[in-house]
Amino acid sequence: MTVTKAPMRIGDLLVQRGLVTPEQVEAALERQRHDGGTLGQQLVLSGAISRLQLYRALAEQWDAQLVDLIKDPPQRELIGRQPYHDVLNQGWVAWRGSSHGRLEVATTVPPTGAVLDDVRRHFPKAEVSFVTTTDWDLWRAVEASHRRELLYESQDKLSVDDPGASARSGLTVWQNLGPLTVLVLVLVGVILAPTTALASILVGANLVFLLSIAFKTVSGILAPLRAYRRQRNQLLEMQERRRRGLAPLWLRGRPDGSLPIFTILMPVFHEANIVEKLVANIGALDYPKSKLDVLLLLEESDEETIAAAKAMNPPAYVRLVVVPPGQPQTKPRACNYGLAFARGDFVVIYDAEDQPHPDQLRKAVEAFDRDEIERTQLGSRQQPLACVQASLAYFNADYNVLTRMFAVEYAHWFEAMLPGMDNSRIPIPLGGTSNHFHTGRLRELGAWDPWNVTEDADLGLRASVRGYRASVIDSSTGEEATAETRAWIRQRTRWIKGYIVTSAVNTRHPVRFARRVGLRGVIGMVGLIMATPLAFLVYPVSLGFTALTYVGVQFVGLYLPHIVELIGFTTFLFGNACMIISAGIAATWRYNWRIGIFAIFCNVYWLLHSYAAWRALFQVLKDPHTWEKTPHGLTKQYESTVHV
Amino acid sequence: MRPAQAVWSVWGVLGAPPVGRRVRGSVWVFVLGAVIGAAASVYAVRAGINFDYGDSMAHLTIARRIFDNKAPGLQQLGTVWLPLPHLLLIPLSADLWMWHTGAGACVLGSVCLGAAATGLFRSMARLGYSATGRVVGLGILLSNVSLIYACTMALTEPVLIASIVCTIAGLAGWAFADRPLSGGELAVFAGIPLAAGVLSRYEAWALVVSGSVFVAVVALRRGEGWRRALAYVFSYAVVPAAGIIWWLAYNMAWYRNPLEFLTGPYSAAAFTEVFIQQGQLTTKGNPGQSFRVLCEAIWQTAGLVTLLLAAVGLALMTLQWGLSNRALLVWLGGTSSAFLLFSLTTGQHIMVNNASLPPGLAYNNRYVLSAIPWFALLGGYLTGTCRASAAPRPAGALNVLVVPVVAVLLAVQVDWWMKDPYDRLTVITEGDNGHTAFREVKKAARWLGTHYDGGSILMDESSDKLAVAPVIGLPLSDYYNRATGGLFDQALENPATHARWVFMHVKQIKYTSTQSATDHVTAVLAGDPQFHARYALVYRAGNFGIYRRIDPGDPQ
Repeated sequence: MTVTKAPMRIGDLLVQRGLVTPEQVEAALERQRHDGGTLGQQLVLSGAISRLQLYRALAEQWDAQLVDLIKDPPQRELIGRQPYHDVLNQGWVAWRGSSHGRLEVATTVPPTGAVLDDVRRHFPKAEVSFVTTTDWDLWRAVEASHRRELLYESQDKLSVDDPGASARSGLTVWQNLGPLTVLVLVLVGVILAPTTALASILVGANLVFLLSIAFKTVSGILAPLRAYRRQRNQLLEMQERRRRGLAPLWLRGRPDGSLPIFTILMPVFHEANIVEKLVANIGALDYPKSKLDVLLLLEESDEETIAAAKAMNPPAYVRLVVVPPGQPQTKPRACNYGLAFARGDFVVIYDAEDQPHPDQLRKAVEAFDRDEIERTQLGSRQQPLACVQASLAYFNADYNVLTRMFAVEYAHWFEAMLPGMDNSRIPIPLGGTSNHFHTGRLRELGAWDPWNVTEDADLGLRASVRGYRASVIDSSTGEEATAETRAWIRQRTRWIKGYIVTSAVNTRHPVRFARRVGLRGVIGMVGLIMATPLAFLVYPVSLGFTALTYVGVQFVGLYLPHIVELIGFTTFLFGNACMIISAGIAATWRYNWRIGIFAIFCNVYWLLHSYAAWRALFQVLKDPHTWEKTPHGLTKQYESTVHV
Repeated sequence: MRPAQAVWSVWGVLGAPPVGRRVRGSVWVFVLGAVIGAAASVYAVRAGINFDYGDSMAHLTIARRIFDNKAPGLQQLGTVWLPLPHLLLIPLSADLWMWHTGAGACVLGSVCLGAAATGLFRSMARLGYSATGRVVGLGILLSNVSLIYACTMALTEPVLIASIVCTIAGLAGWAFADRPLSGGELAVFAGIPLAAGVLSRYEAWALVVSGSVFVAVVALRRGEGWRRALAYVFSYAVVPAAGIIWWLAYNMAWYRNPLEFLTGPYSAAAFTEVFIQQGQLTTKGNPGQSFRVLCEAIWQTAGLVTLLLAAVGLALMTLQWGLSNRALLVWLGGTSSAFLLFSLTTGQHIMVNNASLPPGLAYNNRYVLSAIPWFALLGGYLTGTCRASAAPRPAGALNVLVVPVVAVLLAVQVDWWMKDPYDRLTVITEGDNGHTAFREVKKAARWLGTHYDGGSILMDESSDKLAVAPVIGLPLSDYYNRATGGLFDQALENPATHARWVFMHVKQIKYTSTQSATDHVTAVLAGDPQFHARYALVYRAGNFGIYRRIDPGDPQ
């Protein structure tokens, strides 16, 4: 059935039914004018009416009966003919058909002629009539009917479509044999020529250590250059804009009404204790709520968190997505599942306890807009932007020594290293949260590899391989640093294991990889992704040697060539000093001196890394896909202002 | 802001309760302590009294010879002296003038005094003392003339005291925090200062034990169980234990004996051996005598006012706090004194004063300076009793008068001391004794420093009274001395080809503090006619002679 008479406006209808007051409608209209979206959406978001009340009214307005798709789901053979993303994008689904060619379409959008044309493109010969359903019903119906397909896409698609990009198959034969060969060579060397072997080990260890330190230090030093380069480019741009008769400055940001929908994925697992913080944290974002599409991703087996999430009565822009059981049960699998339902032009991942800076989504949109302008209007030949990474800062940085060390490490990472790498156009490894993607490009890349335990770092590299780039934005997210040593070890084991696996995945065909990513990509891969786990693996060798030298080498009867001793000692001391100073400065700048001073304990902290690295290496060989979950909420209600 | 308002504002800062790790006023207290140390240092350097202690010159010499020597390196550390003070003095001795004048040591001493004051202030804040108590505690510490004098010299006491007080402050921060703190906090804020202590003086080793007991008691009283308590103890002790292990390993590496510092020729045992032979070590095996000697040293170092305040404070604290965690923390301040009593009784330490049998010249009484912060904590308790206490507090006008009254009493005490410091303050008495004993050799040293015109110097500066290298003020790379090892032996065998100058005792000394303190240069060269044929005695002061090689062309 098509609409043939001018319907009463939805606001008037709701007022007439006594569901809202004229003042509420007026306020919603005002918000609509400012933020965009529909009037009904604004009324639901403000809590004036419920979703069901809105759709009842819409059903009346559209003269199309309201149906419950959960109770009366669409016929399987009909919904199977529509790809699920078409259903979600178009807002309607074929609901009931008859042998006489009649077709009832359940819609969440006004049944206009355009919608009718759209239906007829899918069902050319059908006699179409409309019923109304809620967007929530539509989504649930799609989820129920396309469950198998959704699961396939979230956990298997990448490994089937592009097995070379997935960690599913693990290490190749030569990659498995490599460490064993090195071990055998070392043992043989120690037996046959101990001094030469020990000298070789030491030289090798120091080279790896030096490589890792050099990469991190040089990246850190380049960070201030980034600011200078941006400033210089801005001046050039101003000149060019004047030349073209434009206003000298590009007006940043868009008006609220034209902001795109932003999807926020929040995977939670066994985190019932902090899920209630989510609403407050996301609610603090300075972004129109009508443009927010928040998906709380819950695992079906995690009944406690599901119950807690339901009990908190989330606002209308938050959807609870229950991810069906499957393998591997990892965060990237949940994110892939959520991505299928994402309505946004952009998508970001946050952990439940994350406290993103209020302006972060706007800054992300601005960065993508800027990239578009530079490429389309300013003649830039840079690769399209697939992702921007915000920095992470810890709101519990001063909780204990471990959190301070974590904060020092990540201050150096996000405030010095990543901006430095970005400046050098070296592919950056993404962090686990606060990475904002262009949704279309993310889907094109194949999304996250559920078989990789550092799917974020892997995705950053894959973007580079496929001709995209990732960048950083000047905005931060307050996060909880792991405060317990055991949990920290598990988390770090996973990260280092992920780096090893990511290295392995990308070097299955090293030449091909080098051709695709170029010199900078190779530098990033070798200097960071490969050198980081290696440096932590050899760290005890370097430290032990330095400690023994310190009290006198003759203490253990180990006589090495003087030049080896000298180089080793100097490299280790110089390398440590570089890292301590640069990390201390970054942490002092990011937090304060009380945090920054803890950089002097980096050596002890790296011992923990080393333990985690050896644990990770063992896991890589034994079980590369095991995901050791990092518990959150360990610091309970503790929160300082040190990161502000 | 009017003066009264300003005073009230400062008073508010001084009495503010701690918030997290922050204790308001800490920076200003540090500055106050450091400024007092610096002011005293200016006076000491100008008056030249910062080199009155032979140990002060020896410590400075060790620090510099690590990098400025014919055989530089870490092997120059040790053996009986723990290494940290020397390591800390290295950058402060790098400049020849800083080393020659002792100003570098003054910097370290002033920083240590500031750190000790800050640690004390923070401890008192954690214990809940009012502003009155904190000010009185600081007053006791910073008005102690002996302590301030020690901080102007390159002695190990300032580093030890700063370490102990900062350790106690770290323990207080852990024990009395608003939320349970981790073992890592203990390791960093108490373990690291304690590691500095155990690498400075052996008294701090005792604090590893007493502090561990404190940590375990606090954890158990919180109901955290034995396993958790042991984990905390491990966290507290692991860093100082690593320091101790490193020290044993160092001794093992260089001397093939991990206990070289205890049994070697330069050890405390070697010193006590001489005293035993002379029948002067009457404290050994005699707890009563040891106690009397210790008390005499404390009496002559802390002063009557301080001791009265501390004694009454101790009695009141015991009545009010019993053996609570807070009381136990204050008791930790007495650890070094207990250790001194133990080591005097077991003959590990020597201390001589008027209570000694037989009485002798003041010796090593400065060891008791480590008790001053303890007395400050007790005196502070008396005047700034914890607010949580159920006992009645001095009220109204009396409370207002506490600070001025105590200030006047402390001022009177200082005035009394300063009227005759050489007789009333045993630490200064010992310095004056050193001044007298080193008078001749310093005269010779200054002559050499002034008349030196090139060439190497042969000198056994480890021998009795010859640790005067800072007074000479020449780079240590110009010297052949015991610290140069084999080079010293070569120079002794053939001095003319090695050294232009020889600085030695003209006649071998008969009585030395240890067997190792005999002058090796004198032993070899004094009776060698060839030496006297090749060298001329160009300056003599008492038993100390400076010889210069007779080179062709030299005036005869």
